[in-house]
Amino acid sequence: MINENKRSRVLLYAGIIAFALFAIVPYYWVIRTSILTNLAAISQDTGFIPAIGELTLDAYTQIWNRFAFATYFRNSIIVSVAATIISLFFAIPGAYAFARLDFPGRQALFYTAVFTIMFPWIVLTIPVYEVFYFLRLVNTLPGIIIALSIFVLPQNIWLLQGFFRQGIPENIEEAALIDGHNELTAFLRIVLPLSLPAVAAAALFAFLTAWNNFLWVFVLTTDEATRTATVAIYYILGSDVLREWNVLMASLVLLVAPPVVFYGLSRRYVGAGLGGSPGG
Amino acid sequence: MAQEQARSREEIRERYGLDEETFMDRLRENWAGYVFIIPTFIAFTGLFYYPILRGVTMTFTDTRLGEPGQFVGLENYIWVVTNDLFVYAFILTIGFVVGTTFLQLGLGLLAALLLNELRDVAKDWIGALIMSPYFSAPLAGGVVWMWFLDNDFGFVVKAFGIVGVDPPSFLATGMWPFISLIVAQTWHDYAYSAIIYAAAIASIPKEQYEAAAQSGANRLQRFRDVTVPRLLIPTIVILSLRTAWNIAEFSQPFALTGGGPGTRTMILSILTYRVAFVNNNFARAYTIGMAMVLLSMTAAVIYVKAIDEEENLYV
Repeated sequence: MINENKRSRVLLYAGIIAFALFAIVPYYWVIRTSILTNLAAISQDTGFIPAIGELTLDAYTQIWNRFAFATYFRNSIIVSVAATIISLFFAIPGAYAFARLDFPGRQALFYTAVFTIMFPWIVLTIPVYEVFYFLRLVNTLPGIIIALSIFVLPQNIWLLQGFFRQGIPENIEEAALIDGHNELTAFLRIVLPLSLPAVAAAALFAFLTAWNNFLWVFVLTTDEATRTATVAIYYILGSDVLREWNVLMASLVLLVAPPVVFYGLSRRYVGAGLGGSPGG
Repeated sequence: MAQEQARSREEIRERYGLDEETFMDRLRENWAGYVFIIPTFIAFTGLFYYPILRGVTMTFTDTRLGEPGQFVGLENYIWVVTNDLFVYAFILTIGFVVGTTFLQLGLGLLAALLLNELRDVAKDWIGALIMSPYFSAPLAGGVVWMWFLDNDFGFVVKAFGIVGVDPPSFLATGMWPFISLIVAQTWHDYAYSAIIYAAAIASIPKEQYEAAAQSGANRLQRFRDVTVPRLLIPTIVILSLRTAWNIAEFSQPFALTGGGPGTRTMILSILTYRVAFVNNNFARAYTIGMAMVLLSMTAAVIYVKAIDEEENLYV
């Protein structure tokens, strides 16, 4: 910035490179293995950067016959889209109420909503499993959808209420109220259309959080027919007795890449400070 | 900023409700609020408030899957506190959470400060690169690190080979699995604090730095006097949120070590899972979970106190 000199520049770049390596090398190791030949993948002599002769895309063609990828991706898309839509339906009005309306009980509800986002979800799966077991929702896609909808709901509320609080000027609603709208119609006709970009961003994040979720799907399903892509990784790694690492890592790349790439590309459109998800 | 917001909140109060005279106006105002909040309230009740209460009552019974269970008083709590594995997992979890949270905080701050020095386009792309671990599924993060640290084909072992040192088995020997868990967890989530800190640093007006520079403050003094005060609230927010989320973390440790070898990295979340869904003992599992809830709710109280200052939520 000011008074910058050569030494501090060098330190800066060294730091940046160290961070980039820390972030990327574990990924690189997986990608590297996924494009190796069967033999090179289980040879300890293969270099950090493998020779051209050791590279092949075979692993990527093999996995399609080996695992039910079509089912996993279909399930992932179905449950993530459904959970996104359902949670937005709940989150949009809720976030608006937290951000702009005042009513008795708002503060109490708001603080319990803060607790929901910090609550250890693994503990919550126990009574929820009991309820789902009773309602025969275990091992069904609707069951997963309901579970994921609540899982992404707090995150959606946070994202949107931050936007409503800061992104929509208050005099817009004021003007709408003077024009004869009530709170409900002012919201539907004026605030909501203005919020579409924020809603789209929240939808993207909800979709990716649902896609990445392991805990709920893992706990609530045992059948392969209801398995999502993220949970499939776990079973694929446990299933292969032959330990064909290139095939295993290729499936990992295929299942991990979509969310990482989407998040990376969308990050700057959504703005800083967004995109967290509770642990699990 | 904070003052301005506080004032505008006053204005909201004035305009809606509190100062209005007629009863009907107030009723109408509250009616709108309740209409908006009801879907959220129903969702929270059905899948949050009720299950939590059900879980707490469960801890006083011997409920298993599919069996309602009998009232047993404090038996589960006595079982839990006298159970060696629970005590071990509790201490291990605290170590895991303290280690990861502070590492994530420190690395995140450093990353944010470094990125802040870059120009806009570079900042965007390098930022996305450095943040990329945060965007992978936590489970995938565990698998990535399992492969990275693999005893036969892992990167780290190979790197040690260059220097000619025989490395320990990172997922098996002594304390190493535990340290691996902390490092992998730090890798996955340090970008969260980097994102929050970057936003806080970006919101500091340039003029303040210029003014400080003109009055003769050097780089370190500018950092101490201008930057640090603006980072206090974000630090509290990151500490409390990350504490709660690191306590709750299940997927990545589960994929990386699964609590093993044996029970050596058995943190509370994995223990809860095993008791609930491997042993099917729901009541005892929720009792173990109560310890996690206790820890995270402490963090939550601190968080609420912190955001109270400046109605700004970071998630």
